[in-house]
Amino acid sequence: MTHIDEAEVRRIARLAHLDLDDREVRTLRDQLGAVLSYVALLDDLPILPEPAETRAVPADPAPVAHPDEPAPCLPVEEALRNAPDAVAGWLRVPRTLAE
Amino acid sequence: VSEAVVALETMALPARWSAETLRHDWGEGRLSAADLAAECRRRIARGDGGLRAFVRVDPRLEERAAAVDSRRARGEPTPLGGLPVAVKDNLLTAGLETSCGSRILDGFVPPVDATAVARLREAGAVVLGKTNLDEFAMGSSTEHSTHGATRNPWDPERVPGGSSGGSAVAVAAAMAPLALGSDTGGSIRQPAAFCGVVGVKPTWGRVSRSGLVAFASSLDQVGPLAREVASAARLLQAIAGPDPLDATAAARPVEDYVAACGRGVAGMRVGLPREYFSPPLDPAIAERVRAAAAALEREGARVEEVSLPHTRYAVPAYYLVATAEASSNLARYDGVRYGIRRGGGGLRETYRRTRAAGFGPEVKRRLMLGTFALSAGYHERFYGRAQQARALVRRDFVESFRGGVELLLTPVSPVGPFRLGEKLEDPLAMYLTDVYTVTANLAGVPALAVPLGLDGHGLPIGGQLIGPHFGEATLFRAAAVLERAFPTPAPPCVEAGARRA
Repeated sequence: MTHIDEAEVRRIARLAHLDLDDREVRTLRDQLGAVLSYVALLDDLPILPEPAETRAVPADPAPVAHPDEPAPCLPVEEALRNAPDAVAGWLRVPRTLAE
Repeated sequence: VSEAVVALETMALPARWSAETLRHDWGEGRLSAADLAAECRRRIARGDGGLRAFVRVDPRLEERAAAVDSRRARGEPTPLGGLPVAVKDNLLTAGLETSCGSRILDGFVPPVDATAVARLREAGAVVLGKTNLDEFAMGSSTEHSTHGATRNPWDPERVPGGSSGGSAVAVAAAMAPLALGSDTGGSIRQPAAFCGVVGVKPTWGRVSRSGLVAFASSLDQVGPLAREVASAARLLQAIAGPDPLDATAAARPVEDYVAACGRGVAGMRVGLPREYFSPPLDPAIAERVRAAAAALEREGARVEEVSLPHTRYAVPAYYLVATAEASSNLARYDGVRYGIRRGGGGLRETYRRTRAAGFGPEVKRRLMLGTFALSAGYHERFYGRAQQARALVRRDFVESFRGGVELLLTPVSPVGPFRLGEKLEDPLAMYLTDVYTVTANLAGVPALAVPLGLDGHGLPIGGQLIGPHFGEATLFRAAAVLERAFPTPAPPCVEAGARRA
């Protein structure tokens, strides 16, 4: 059983930028513990002599490339249309320097 | 006689329709895309209340369909001839809200189409609406959605599979002739199997991922769902190919998949991987897949047992690689550029509150797992080993195909459609249902789910065909043979409509 305690759950939540309440912390402690115990199956793996080949497909013989030419991009007003807060062509965010 | 049946008779469209026939009739001028679109809207209004396959129908549907009719009148090429296509709600549709089944994207209206969606429109199809999914495509049951759970038309107390459950139900319940889904670990194939339709996960790189909301970029692929193998082939043909907006979309030419459907399997070497036929596989599913092997043999294929020895490592490797990539991809949902914002305090607090309020429990669980797997002190033991396992799973496939087998035949899922809520509280049990599908994503190879009739409870059973990289045409050859050998009815709700009409 891979043990993961509540302090560890809270540490990971900070890294993931997630606020969790106490109930979520307890649930995730148990559920992540169960999943991590299962994935410990990977500890049986033979160690490969060479670095793992992890590309999903073999390198294509004709690499995908296209001419490096300027092309139109999304207009600013379009890009800001979905923003929760925007002003005068900019995204507005909460103050950062005080942190 | 209900109003619904009157509508069907007025349209002269069968309740259990065929996308191939509809397309043909449209080409001959016997049917208009505008009428077909309106008929789909009626069927959704009538039938989707209890199933919840759709999260929204395009309000401009009939207008867009009429524009395709005008293209026919002008003689423009329209290979998808006026067909309405249901689109999974993690593919961007310009001007039509895209939610990914998440509260965090509430109100998000994409400024552009995904490439796959743009290609549908170019080919003369009409985007019918957006279908429900597990939030950000993370799930195997379409229960994890802010829009509520989608139900299986074969038994509304059961799940339709996921995460493309809405797309599979839309096609199975004859509300849409065709649909698009996405598949990161089985999200097209497993719902296709649970709902009795055809679903294809193409080779990684066969279809552009531009405008597909990223979950795990090295695993995600867009693909078709359809009632017929030939329609799935036609839809894939329309969306496949290189794309300047996605440098990982392969430059290889797209084969004629529709023609492949008629080519048969004479002389084809088919492998049955022994690791896919052991417990916890439901014996009824095992028996049916072996019957499918016998059907291919009768058509001239040679079937042999093969071994993919690293299969047992696939689920753990998948759940580490996919969640690690998700933890990075979903960092963009921070309440700044789109979606909801929960403010108060500084910027970091806004991030944390927004994400806490916007993500559901399954997404949070996976972000936590992925963040853990990548964090200092754990990276090598978890993510590093998962990558190594992935390489071994991939090597198993490459060696099998190098050994002369042209495709593999397996079950799609070890179990049939399970009951709603049955696995919600046990994430590991849910993850283990992906045991036969995640392998193709890890290896990047194409795979297809094809219906193999019904089980003793009247629920669909699916068979999976897995091919070598860019071997989609081979999959379609075998799938068309299995489709003829295992005619699968439509769900009872559709068959009842067919009898009344």
